[in-house]
Amino acid sequence: MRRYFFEILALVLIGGSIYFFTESIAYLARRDYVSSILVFFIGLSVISVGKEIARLALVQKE
Amino acid sequence: MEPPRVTGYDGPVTARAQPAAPRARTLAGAFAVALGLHAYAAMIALPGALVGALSRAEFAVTAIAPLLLLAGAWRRSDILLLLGFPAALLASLALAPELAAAGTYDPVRLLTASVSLVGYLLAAAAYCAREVPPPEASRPLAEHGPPPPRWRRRLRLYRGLAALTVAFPVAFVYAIHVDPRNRAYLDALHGDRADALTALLSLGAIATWLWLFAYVFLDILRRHRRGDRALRVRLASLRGAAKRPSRLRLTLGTAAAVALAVALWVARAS
Repeated sequence: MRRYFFEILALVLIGGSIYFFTESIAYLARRDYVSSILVFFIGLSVISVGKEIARLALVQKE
Repeated sequence: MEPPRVTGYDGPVTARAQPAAPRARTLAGAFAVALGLHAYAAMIALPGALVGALSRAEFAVTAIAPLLLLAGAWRRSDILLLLGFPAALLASLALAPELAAAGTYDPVRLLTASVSLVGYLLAAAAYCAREVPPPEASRPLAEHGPPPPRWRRRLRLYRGLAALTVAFPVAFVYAIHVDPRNRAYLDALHGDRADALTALLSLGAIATWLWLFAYVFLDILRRHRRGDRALRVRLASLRGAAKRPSRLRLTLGTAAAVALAVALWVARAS
């Protein structure tokens, strides 16, 4: 069960970061540059955590 | 003599190591030329003629792209086909940002041009693929039955990551070129500069995506490549690092996301 949890969590986090990056584009379009940078770095943090979880999922033993 | 034994599941590596047949390679080259010319016509030539964004001199400059394509196909040059031609397309768009404007493309034409470009890149990559040296050791897939559970799990995750590598650029292109909310803001707030800003956002999205691809996707997969002699030494140290998940990175990543979310909330509230 734990291995599925890591797999799903990694893909959800990496996939979910798309939302923050597209929101960053939306803030740029509204000329809200500070919010855009903040949201961009939120996306970056989320995708970094997803990357670490994916790495964990790949080295999990059966 | 008994063949050398290898550990782990080397099925995909062995399967991919087969060089493409000459006929299949020629077919891939023909596809690459056809799809590349279609991408040029859909992205540059037709919008340039319809919108009138390009002068004759500028049209002549954009013709460098198909010339690079044909020269690359003739020479079977990966530099010309995978770098020169796409860069020439981008340079043409930079020459006349109106070509990348949302009004130039309806979603169907944008999808058609995108599919052509992605198909072109795949066909060009297949056409330029070099014959790889034979692996140090291999074994037929059928000999050992289905892959072990550990590798089935890994392949599952690899496929998920492959799907996400498509989802990212699609989401970026949608947010910049199609999303009506963003288009309305761009047109209302930037006026005449909306087209230039759209082109700039597209370039930023490409740069961001390339960086994310190297930082996230390649970085995850690099630790699991097998059968590459030159990488063995590096893999040994990387595998050791992969088995010790960085608690510091996990904690910092989570803390940064929460702190930035709070900062955003405060900035929006004030």
